[in-house]
Amino acid sequence: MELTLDRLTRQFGARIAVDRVTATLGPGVTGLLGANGAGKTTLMRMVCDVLRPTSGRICYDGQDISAMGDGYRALLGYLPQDFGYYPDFSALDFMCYMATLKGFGRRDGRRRSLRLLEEVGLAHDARRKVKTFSGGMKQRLGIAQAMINDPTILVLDEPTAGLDPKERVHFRNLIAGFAQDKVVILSTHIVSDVEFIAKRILVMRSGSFVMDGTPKQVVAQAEGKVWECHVDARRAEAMAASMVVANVRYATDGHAVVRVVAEAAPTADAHRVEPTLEDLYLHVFNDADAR
Amino acid sequence: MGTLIRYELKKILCNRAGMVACACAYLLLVGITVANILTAGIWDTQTGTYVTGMRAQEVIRHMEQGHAGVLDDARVAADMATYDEAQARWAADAERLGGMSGQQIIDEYGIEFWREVDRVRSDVYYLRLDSILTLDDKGARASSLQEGAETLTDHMLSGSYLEYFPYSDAEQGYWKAKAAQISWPLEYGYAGAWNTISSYLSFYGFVVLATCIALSGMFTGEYRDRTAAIVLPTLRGRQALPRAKVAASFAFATVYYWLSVASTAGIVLAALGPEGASLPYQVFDFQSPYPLTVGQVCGLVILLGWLVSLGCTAFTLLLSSRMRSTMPVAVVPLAIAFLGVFAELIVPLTKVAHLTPLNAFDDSFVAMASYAVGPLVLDLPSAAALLYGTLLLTCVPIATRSFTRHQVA
Repeated sequence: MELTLDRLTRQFGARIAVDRVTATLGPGVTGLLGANGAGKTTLMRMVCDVLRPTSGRICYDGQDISAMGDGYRALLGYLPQDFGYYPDFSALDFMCYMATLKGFGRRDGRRRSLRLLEEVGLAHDARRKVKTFSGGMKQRLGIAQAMINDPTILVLDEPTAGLDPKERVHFRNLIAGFAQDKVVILSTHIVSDVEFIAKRILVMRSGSFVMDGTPKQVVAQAEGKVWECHVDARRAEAMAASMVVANVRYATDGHAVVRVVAEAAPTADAHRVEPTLEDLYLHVFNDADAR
Repeated sequence: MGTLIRYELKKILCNRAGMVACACAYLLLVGITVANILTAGIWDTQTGTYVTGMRAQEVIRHMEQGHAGVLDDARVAADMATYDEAQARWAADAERLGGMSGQQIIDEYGIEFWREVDRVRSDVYYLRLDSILTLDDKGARASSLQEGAETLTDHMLSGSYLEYFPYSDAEQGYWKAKAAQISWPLEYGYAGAWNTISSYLSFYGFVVLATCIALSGMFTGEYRDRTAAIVLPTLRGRQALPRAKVAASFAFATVYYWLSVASTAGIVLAALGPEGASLPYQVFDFQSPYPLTVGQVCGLVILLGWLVSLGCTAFTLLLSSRMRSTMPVAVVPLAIAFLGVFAELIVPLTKVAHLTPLNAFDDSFVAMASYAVGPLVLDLPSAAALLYGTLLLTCVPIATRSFTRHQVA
């Protein structure tokens, strides 16, 4: 079970959204990290065959997906970042409709729909029209439709947008359980979405992968570049304006503990700390901003 | 596939603007039909009173049934003698009678005079007989209806259609051959319901336009509402889904069209009775070259209307698959239909305008318009059938292909 991206490129006019991206993705969650506009959504669309690459190809187990056609789409579950619903459909109607599109018969589709709605916490709202749903509920419904065919390849583009912290944790657990023997690509700019469940992290910037590895390997890139220092509150504010500050924790005595991502120690008494994925993210994208 | 079609039908029925348009067109059609029957008014020759509504319909039926029978030469001559006598009696005192109302004529001249002179002079049956039999400005008359109709047809074919489109030899031959199939002498009789149905066929054009509005979002809606991103990358999203959309669209167009036809034709037939369907179409127009019965013409126009509806549906699906907003998809068929109505007033455009949705209903079997390509000649209903059949066959595959190839960008 292997999804290969081979020099995948997508151009919109003169702008290159995805630039000769190459990677081989296996079972487990692959986190795709990148700022807005990095090319994640364009890449996801090409993986889901709703956007043709300008050049390059995508293969599943060595077969070009454009030649696989329906055979490839049968393996796919996709939650787009920006998508709509049929406002006059109930949640159950919508799920049954998606089940029909994914090739299930009425009875089986309904059974799966009810189970998925239960899993995403929408069982009690199954007969409510989608137009009455909050943003978070719609997002959960989107996640449910993506998983209804038990896809071999699950592509989730910003899946946690609109979810509250409890829902995020629930979603992470759901995906972690699901991804054991599936290719899951989870695109996000929210580091905590992938920090604990991703087997592999791809960091994307300006249409290219700039980092690739396990979370540990990727985080190691920021090794020795994350510092903590104790400063007074006023100094902390000044540092936040001039440096890459990952976190400021104010103490009751007027001092602050500042977490800084920098090549060199920001203050004389600063000490190195263990980097996190978020620190790495700040390190990578601060470099890009600086350029 | 059936389940997908049901979901697509549900989407159509949830399109509020489309449903409002369909309801308005349906109510307009039913309203006009009912109003046409109930607001009819006519002088009752038996009682000398003006009657309206269903009573008027009864009087009309009675009058037409009074003319019923085979219009052979002897019968035509006798009827024209009645008409000529009425004209002569009127002419004797025309100056005075011209300024009087029907009631005043009855009061001063008596009901017999009013019945035999005023009513005969204004009876459409006699007027139409006089019109078809009159051969020239000097008042020369044909000896039979057939001679009158053939003379008029020959006169038209020797000139031009609307004095602009000359009839080619092939066209002249086509129309003459058609007219030669009419069986003379004609049988005349009452066909009130069919007359009403044929007079209001053009309103079915509004049903077609409302269908176009209702279906404008079939593909565009998926792009506009950003649902294409989730339906396209599914097992059945690129093959079965567009087919289901097409099937649901045609199912909706068909049910809505036939519901409208059944409602209006049902009301008319229930109110006025079904008799007269087997009478020759010439009872409505002595000059018509079509060798068809009244029922056949009404049936053919209704069937042609169904084809127009399906052709316009296919065209709407094509627009819907290529555009990103429903508004232009809904507006383009409306614009074509209404511009067609105005274009008919511009003589060089008339033949093309005849083929637009509203006119195709109105002009088929009425206008002697023909379309010739070398020796091949098509009359208006055939040309309209060819046009909308072609739209049906060509637009659907292009529409499904466009949707299948849609790029979510």
